[in-house]
Amino acid sequence: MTHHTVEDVFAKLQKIFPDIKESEEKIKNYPTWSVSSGSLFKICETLKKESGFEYLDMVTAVDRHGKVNSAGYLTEPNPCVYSQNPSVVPSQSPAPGAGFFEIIIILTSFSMNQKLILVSRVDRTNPEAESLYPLFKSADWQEREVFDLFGIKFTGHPNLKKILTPDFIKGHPLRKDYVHKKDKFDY
Amino acid sequence: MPIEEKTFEKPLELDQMFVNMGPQHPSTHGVLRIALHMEGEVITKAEPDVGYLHRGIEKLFENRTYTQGLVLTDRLDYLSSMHNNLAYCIAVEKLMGIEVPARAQYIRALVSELNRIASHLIFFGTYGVDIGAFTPFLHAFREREMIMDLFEMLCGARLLYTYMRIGGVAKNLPEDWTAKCREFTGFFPKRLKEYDALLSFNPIFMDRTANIGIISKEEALDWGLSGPVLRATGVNYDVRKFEPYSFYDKLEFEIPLGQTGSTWDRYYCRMREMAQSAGIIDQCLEALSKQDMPPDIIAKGVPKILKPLKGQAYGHIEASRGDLGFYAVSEGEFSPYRMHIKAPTFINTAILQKILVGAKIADVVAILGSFDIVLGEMDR
Repeated sequence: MTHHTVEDVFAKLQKIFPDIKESEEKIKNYPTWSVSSGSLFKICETLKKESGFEYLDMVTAVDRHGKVNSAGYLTEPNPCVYSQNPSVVPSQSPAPGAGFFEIIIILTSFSMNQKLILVSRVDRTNPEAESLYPLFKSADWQEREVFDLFGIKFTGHPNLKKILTPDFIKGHPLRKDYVHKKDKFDY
Repeated sequence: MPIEEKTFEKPLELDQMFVNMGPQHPSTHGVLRIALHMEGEVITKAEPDVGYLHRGIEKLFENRTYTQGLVLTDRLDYLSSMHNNLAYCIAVEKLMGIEVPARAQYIRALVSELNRIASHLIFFGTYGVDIGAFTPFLHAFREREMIMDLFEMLCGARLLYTYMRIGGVAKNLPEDWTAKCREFTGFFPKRLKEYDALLSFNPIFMDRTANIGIISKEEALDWGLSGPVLRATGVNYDVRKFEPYSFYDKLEFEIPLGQTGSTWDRYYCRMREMAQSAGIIDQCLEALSKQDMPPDIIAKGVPKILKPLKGQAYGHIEASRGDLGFYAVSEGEFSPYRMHIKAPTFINTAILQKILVGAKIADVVAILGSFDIVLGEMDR
């Protein structure tokens, strides 16, 4: 069964998954729905099988830890290093455990000529989400990238290992609280 | 990642072999490594290994202003910098709600089509070299040189242009530029016929490429392919038609589609795209030469220092290699809170681990070459 507008799809999904709602902050010019991380996989499955959203565009994440004070970057000799600079007032940087991760998923339906964005919150202390690999193979490398750069574990992914950063890099560089440990390439 | 012992689940049998292709290999078009497990000359397992050119560009965005970030985009897909500039500008313009004037829109479409031709010409030349034909390379670079000259007149650079600006373009077209560009579009379609005679329908070349690396429609959608790699399978998805930007809805052109999704189809899709691009360039020049076009090339009221309000935007375009997107998150600061690049080659290359299985080792270079990868964009 196909739907004609994205609103129909939303109304139908809301009956099955009551926790789905329109996101407060729209990602500009696309319908943006916020879903719970528990039902993300099921919602994608329903969208794929019943509404023709058969193409996964993008999987990425945002670290909503809060803006890190950029003074910490700029005064260091290596601009990529975020370190505990004494001149940075600690109250300007977010508290260690603050915030959450957002997983951003863009789906496309060719029959409806429509793109759709799903936003899902993941806990920041032990980040885990269900892998979309069984539904879309294109999640394979993109989820590995998110795992590498943010440290979000995707359960059910068959080959979840680092992809972009080298083996000796410890930690997840796109996290806001990432502290670069000096290695042989720093001087 | 370096080779690890643990990548072998079980020890190799006597008739099995491990071949390490790359990262320093002339036919991987950069620092891509493919770990191949073979039985005789048939591949049983292929593991593409990327990340050798990872420069952390997404992280760099977070410590630079929006204007400084524009320069980083050139370094992604360095063979089609105009597209990277454009996708980034579209994302930031969406974020800030900037309307780009008509002249700048046409110039953007014009230069991105010129860049598409230049990029596909490199593909045509290097793909010939991959297969063993050296002459097409010289032909391709002769024509590419004309485009490089045009770009040099326009912005002074030959590879990394930074020609777009948030809200428009950097400079108007120089005086004698239009005449020189028309000279190119008059000259180029004839050359395309020459390429077809030289390489496309050459029986040796067709035998070598027409029956390998076949991707079905379903597979292509499942793996999220985009660009000529997707269209060669027959799926009609082109961002220029799907979600028109830069006045592509006012321009007439067709989307060349392949039939079988083979290596040759991917090659020939690009060749036919070049003819369409030449047509678009003519239409843009025609539109730009009209007297009633306002002379503005940059939107009025764009501040010198950009500070978008809190918000998020996703802008995407059809680049030479596929659907290139920028996802920007602003927290109301001078630099983006997060900037994600949806790189088409990164997503396209993942399917190699599937389609290389069962292929012969001699075909690896032919299949890989047909994806037209640029490692700068893949590793970011």
